[in-house]
Amino acid sequence: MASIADFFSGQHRACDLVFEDMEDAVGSADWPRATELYQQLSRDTLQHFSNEEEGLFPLFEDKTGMQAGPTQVMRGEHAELRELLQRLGEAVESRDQDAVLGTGETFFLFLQQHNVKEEQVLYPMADQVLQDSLGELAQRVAGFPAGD
Amino acid sequence: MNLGALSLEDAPGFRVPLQFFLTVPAFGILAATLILFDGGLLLQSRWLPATLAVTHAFTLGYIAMAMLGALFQMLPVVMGTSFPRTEPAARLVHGLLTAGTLCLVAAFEWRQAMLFLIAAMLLVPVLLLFAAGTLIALRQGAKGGGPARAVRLAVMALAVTAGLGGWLAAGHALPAVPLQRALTDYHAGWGLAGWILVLVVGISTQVIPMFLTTPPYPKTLERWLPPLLVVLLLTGSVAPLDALRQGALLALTVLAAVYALVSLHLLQRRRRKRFDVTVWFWRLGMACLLAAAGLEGYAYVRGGSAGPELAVLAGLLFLAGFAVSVINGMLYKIVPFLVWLHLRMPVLKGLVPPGTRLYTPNIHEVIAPQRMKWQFLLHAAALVLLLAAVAATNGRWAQAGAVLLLASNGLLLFNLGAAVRLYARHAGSV
Ligand SMILES: [Fe+2]
Ligand SMILES: [Fe+2]
Repeated sequence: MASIADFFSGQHRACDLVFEDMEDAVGSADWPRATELYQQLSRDTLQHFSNEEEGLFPLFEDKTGMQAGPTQVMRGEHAELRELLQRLGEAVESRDQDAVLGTGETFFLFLQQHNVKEEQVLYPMADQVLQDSLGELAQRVAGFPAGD
Repeated sequence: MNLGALSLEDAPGFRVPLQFFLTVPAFGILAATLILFDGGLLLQSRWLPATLAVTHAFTLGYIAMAMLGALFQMLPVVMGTSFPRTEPAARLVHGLLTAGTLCLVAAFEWRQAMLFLIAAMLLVPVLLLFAAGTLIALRQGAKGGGPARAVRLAVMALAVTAGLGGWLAAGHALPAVPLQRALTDYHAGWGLAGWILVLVVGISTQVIPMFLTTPPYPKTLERWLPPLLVVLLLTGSVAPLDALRQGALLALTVLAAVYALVSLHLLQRRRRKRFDVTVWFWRLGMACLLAAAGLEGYAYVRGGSAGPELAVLAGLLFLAGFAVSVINGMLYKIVPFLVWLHLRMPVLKGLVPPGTRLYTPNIHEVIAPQRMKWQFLLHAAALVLLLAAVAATNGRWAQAGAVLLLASNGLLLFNLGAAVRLYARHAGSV
């Protein structure tokens, strides 16, 4: 049985690893590699957000009838994270090490507190209420195991 | 289930935790000043009034001050609940805790019966009130998960500690109340192992993997360590057989050492390689916890033949080495994040038009990493000198350690103050 918590938490961990590699590259002033890793981080993170906003959240909202509930809060935080990600990109582009590390730390802390709320509350709830909708989720989210 | 409370917008006002956090280094300065003036003498016995004055400046003024402030902040954001009437309650708790601690320190310093009574009348009610409010909040909370359970146990231990402390204060003040030294051990045990250690375990198993990018703690440790510590403490306090009580306390010491070792191991396997001062504060803190547990175990094996300075050394390692270090490290994660978060509040609450780019300083601009690093070095050096002073009963070293402790807390106050001033400057411009 495919687990929403496992799949989406796995994407969090994968993005964390890319972020950590990028930070290392910036630390050793390897800017071409940092730029490449930033692009991967940006692509993966934004893909994850749209997996949630266009895949998971609408199904959750339909099933629970909670339009203004936790998914609303999470969408708001995504907006903030997108802006931080953009600032991070600008700092990488201008090769400003202090700005990358400072903005990166800000992005990372905010992202972690966001992820922990999803992993501890939202995903477990989604796993409970969306047991019958996993097939539909697989159609909307690329890579989500289509199941048995 | 109250999922709306997950929202950062429901975080309590900036002032709620910050009034506590800014008071923390002020009591660190007070403790350092007391050591400086009373010299090495007070580091030789845990029973001297001057030693108890310093101890309570740390336990109440520094440690409890930081933990209560952090709990006011964490209840809504992490546990989906909030302290009843948060803002006025926090102001009241902060005011009474500050005044009560000052009275208690003065009472020990000048051995004034009246001051002991006033201190007890200020501190006991406020700590019981805080414990009760937290328990009520957790009953209404969304989740009964790991940290919530540890917090529940820890504040119950806080209530026990405060009750015993009140009784001991009455013993100092009133000739009619006999001063029972045995109670002091219960008071210290419930305060150190029940309140401080259980709370740090409950919170660290959540925040270390998340913010310091270590692998997670083993699930069994995360789940069972806080209740097990409390059960052992209870057994060690009230079991009918002497051997049973001793065995429980030894097991508790071993578990504290295991937790310290696991933490050190996880911190070693941290994925991010960038220098992070919080990691070093936690490493130092866990190393001190391990050493404190080792000394306690040694004293247990030696029985009555262990010297009195061993108890002082273990106490210094636990309080100034373990608790103060991890709190100091956490303050450097929490305060810059809170400054940033509250400056972003207009955007997060949708009070500015979407797409507006509001300049906000990044977290490294709130407190420069370099200045945090210097403070860490001052703190570590102060600790080494104070430990050496106790081990060698050397008053000069104790005073040198006190000077460094003073400098460390002065810099901590400056760093936190700079963060708050930056907040005030930018918040005004939005
Ligand atoms: Fe998300
Ligand atoms: Fe997510």
